[in-house]
Amino acid sequence: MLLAALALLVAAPFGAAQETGMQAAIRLVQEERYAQALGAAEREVEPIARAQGRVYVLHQAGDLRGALTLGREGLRSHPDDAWLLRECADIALSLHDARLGRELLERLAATGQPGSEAPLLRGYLDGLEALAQKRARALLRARWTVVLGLGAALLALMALAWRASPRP
Amino acid sequence: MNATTPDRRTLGILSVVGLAGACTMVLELSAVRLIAPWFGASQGVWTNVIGVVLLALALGYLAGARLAARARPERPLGWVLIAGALLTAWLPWAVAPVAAWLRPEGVTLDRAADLYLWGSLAAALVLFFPAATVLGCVCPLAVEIVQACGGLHAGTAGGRVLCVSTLGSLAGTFATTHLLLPDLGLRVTYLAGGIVLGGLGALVLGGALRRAGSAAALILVPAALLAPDGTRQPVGAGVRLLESAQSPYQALRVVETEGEGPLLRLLQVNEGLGSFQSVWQPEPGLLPLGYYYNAFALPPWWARAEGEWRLLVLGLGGGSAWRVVEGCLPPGATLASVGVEIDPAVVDLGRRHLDLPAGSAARRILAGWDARTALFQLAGERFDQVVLDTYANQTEIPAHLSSLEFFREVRGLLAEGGWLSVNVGGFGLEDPVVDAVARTAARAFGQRALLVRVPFARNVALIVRRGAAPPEPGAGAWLAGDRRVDSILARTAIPSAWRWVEPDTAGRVLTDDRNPIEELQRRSIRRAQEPG
Repeated sequence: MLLAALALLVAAPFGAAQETGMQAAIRLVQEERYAQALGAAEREVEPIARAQGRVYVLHQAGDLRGALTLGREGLRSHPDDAWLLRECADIALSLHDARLGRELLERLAATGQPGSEAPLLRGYLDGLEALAQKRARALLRARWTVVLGLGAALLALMALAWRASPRP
Repeated sequence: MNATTPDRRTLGILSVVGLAGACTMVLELSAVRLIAPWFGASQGVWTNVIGVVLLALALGYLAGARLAARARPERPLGWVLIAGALLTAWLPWAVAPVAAWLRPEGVTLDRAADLYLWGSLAAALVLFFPAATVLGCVCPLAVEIVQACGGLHAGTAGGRVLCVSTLGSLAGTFATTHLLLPDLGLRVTYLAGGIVLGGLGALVLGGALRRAGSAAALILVPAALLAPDGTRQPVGAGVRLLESAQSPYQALRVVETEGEGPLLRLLQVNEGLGSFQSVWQPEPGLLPLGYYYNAFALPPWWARAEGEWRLLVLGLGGGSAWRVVEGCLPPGATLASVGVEIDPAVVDLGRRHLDLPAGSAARRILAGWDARTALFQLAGERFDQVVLDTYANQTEIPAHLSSLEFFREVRGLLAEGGWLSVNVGGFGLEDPVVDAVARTAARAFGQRALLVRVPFARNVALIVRRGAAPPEPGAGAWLAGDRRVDSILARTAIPSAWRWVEPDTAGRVLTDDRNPIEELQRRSIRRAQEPG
């Protein structure tokens, strides 16, 4: 998102006549014309810019799952694109998908580009992963409690039913 | 032994049995309420709790039968009641550590699907199994005593004991739902159950133990009442508690946000899983992006409403839908609305904290009505829009409010061209629950239904009309010409944000006779947990 905004600022002095699809998408998003912004992004000739533009528009429109799907499609053809990696990691973490978020952040760090450490996203990821670990441990506890509790109850039932006392 | 002694003893023992039966139902019916803040109150949770109690009772019957073979069954009966008292009275204080051990704070619903089922089963085993087992011992012990006292046949003694126990359970059932939980709350209800059982135990044991029991009660009861309430989850950072209450249906609380963000009040039910039933902001109108209530405000704009807009809200809650629609009507339109809410306590909280009106000709409230039965009450009236907001989380969708027959009844209340707006929680437009509910509504209306993703939320708005189709997303009639409303509509005009569901789409529709909504919900959550 930051890179996209920078692109808009850099392009501004050249005037609207030279507006790229991505720049048009950003402008239209600011005007809250998302369908047109998506169309503008799709008209972008450069494949990577087209992928970035579509992800940016869907993210801004609030379609997080759609944006993530498109972003991952874009990453198949451009696996090292730092902007797409960061955006997809951001969305994956918003959707609480820690596994995917970690994968994307590691790929982002491997690009070695400025800002690829993404400390804010990493902090959020750490929180999500800690929660996932707590959840996994709790699930294990719950399952063992059920197995042991039900097992003990059934054994007690069988023992009591088997050894009924006769009336003296 | 004179002729009257056995009868008196028999009556005494039968009274003990009746009260113990009532306490058993207090334990069972309050159980789901007790763990609901952590695990919800879905049918799966109810099934787990009832299953555990039945297993415990079965074990208790056998254990009681063994104890009854002893020379003086009155003594084990007394001790069993004392143990039942302690195991019942401790529950409100035990629930928080046990439940928190099994369900960590902060886990969202889509990551907790297996946890709330396994967790609720484990919690039921730890919390309710011991008490229910001990209470299960009462009947066989009582049968032995009654048989011996009256010189009766085993069948006669057993029949009398079971009859009185069942009648006691019946009384406990109604008292728990309609009297104890709403008036006393969970903590005092369990404490009262413990006191009754302890008192019965002391009476049965008699003598020195009765005095010891009385002394213990004098110490323990005030201590328990003064101890912190363990049945409620803390409200968390960034919000403050305005009021909490127990109703026959659920635990309720109203919290208010604090800090730099917008001032909001949330009405939460069974506080677990971070959900809320109603939201309030100081000014009526659209809520911030991400709140599904905003989708309810769209039909009056699409209809270019003028004059009176007749709105029926099924699941009124604290009146969020009213405030959003009323504050965002097109110029020249006024709201005349009926709201149906099953839980009167929700309405009371809404009036005190969420500016819910007291009720008037333009704002009629049917409190205490189930949405389905309210449709019969409203037969003959016609509405321009019906809002259905009764689906809680992804786990508590009432089957009778998602069936073909129900949607046909809703259609019957709509004026020609009228709109049905449904809030459905789901994980995308292809979610199994969303898909099934939309297909059912489309079939009932005989019209294509529109599914619209709520921006920045996992909710989906289902929109279907009587005798017409909703506007085509992105087409000329889609936008309202109002900046606030179009901010939402423009976001939902992109192709990935909506989907049509045709009335003749192949696949099962949900009916009153066959409605696998629980299975669909499990499938939905499993699907959301799949990687990628």
